[in-house]
Amino acid sequence: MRRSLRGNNAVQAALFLALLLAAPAALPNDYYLSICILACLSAIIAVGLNLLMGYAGQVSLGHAAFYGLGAYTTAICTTRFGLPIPVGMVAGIAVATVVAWIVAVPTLKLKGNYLAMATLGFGIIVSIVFNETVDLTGGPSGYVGIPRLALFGHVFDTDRGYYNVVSVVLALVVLLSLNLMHSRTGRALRALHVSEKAAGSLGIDIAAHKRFVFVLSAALAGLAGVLYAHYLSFVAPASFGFSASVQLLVMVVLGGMASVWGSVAGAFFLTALPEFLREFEDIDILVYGAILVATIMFLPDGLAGGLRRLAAKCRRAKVSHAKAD
Amino acid sequence: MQRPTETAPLLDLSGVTVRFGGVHALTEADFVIPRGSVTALIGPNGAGKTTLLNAITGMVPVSEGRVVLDGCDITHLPPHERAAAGVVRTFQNLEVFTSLTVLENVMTGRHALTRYGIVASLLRTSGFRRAERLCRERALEKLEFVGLADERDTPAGELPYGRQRLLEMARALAAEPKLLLLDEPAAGLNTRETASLGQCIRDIRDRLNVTVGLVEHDMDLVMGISDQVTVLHFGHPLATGTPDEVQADPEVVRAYLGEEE
Repeated sequence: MRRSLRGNNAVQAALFLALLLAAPAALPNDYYLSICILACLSAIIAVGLNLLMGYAGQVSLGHAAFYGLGAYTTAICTTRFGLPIPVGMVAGIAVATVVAWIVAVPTLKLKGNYLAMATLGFGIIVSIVFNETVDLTGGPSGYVGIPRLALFGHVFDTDRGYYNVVSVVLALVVLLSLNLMHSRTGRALRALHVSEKAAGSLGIDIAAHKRFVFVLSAALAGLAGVLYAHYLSFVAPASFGFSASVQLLVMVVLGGMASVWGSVAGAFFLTALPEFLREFEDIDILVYGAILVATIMFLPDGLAGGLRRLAAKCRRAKVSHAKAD
Repeated sequence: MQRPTETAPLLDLSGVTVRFGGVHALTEADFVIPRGSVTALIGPNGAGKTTLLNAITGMVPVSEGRVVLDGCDITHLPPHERAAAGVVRTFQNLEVFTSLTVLENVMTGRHALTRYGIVASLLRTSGFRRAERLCRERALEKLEFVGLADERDTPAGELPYGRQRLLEMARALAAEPKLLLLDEPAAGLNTRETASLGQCIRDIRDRLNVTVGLVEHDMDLVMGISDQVTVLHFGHPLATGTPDEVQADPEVVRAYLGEEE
């Protein structure tokens, strides 16, 4: 049976990449390009977090910590230790992955609110480490002088060049996530989300699957972290604290649980929203909150669910229109 | 109908004890399921029937005794390894994966049989596509077997109760078990549904050659389809035999109807 092009993950991801690469032409200035870069980075983390939360049903309130571990590790490796940038980037992702592995073993035995508490605590601990180990991380005032990304002799020192890089990475992350979720692993994660008892009785190793998806989502956060560090060339603990973790969680919920595309939409929406609210000046944060509340109330299954329903409605309207003709 | 039982039993529990704190849910229970049979486990509420099922599938720890499946000691294996060893079950309170489609539910049942790595699924290799196609075909066969093929793309949570029961059976059968354990499959079904369930269980034994262990309260169903019946009373097996033998057993009558004064 041949699958339709619309159902083909590679085609979807390629179209998405084309859209991303074409988007800057519509932007008025470079400031918006930098917003788009940050949105892509958030989308990478949100997609990873959705694999953990939306598909496997395991809450993490400490995901910004993995983002920070990636960023700080490559920052320190490439400046203090003078390592090449690719090595620093690999080290950043590796540290996030290994820490996640260590954290996963005890915490994933917990369920629901208790898992949320444990990951929250982990995020706070990492945040304290970033703030207090001043010799290593520069403390609360941050870490400066991180080199801009250079690969194969090419320095990505323009926003446009960097945007192209993060676009490709995001499209790849989306593609691989879609592929993974449409496989036995994806089915197993969604199954254990609903009933660990039944999933286990069918031969699914619950602990191994939870650990895997937790580590994977942390690795993606680490990947976003290293790209962040080599873009801004400056990192500070405030970007990786509790509120950042909550922001990521909101992106996933707002975008739509168990929807890779929803997380991308959620990340772009939440990153762009404050920019559009600047004209409200003093009450912008109020409006921001109101929009969040309204979105969750009227789109309980997120932006992805809302779009799906809209598409279904259009299709029905078209059919009835065609009948009327 | 008498079936040949000259070979060693498929499942052999000996001296199995399960304790919850000070409570003995099962006490030195011996229980055998002959190969190729439908074996029913009956008993009053609280007799330990579900506990026995849980002990077989690894959902409660066994304090003493041994659980042997087809010659392999599975007493201390975790649940997912027991499934791979050949015993799967359904649940008294349905545990359908409500957010997956009907077909995806059954494909999940083939998890341990669908062997490809993470990398293969990331890159959509030809091995991945072949294994997925096989998984889908086999899952559809099982859906056809229980008569749910038309519902393949329905979200499982939207199926009516009785059909969710059938879906659980299809999902369990998809794991290609040697032994299928059904925990009160007729609960909540009407008479007509129960009758077709009975036929379905017979077909599982005769057409799919899967041995069935059955915990059930519906005595008409139990006596109608079972080759062997074991009566459990206060965590201990009281009697084992054909339906007729068990029904005639004075101990069993006493356990069910109470002591005569």
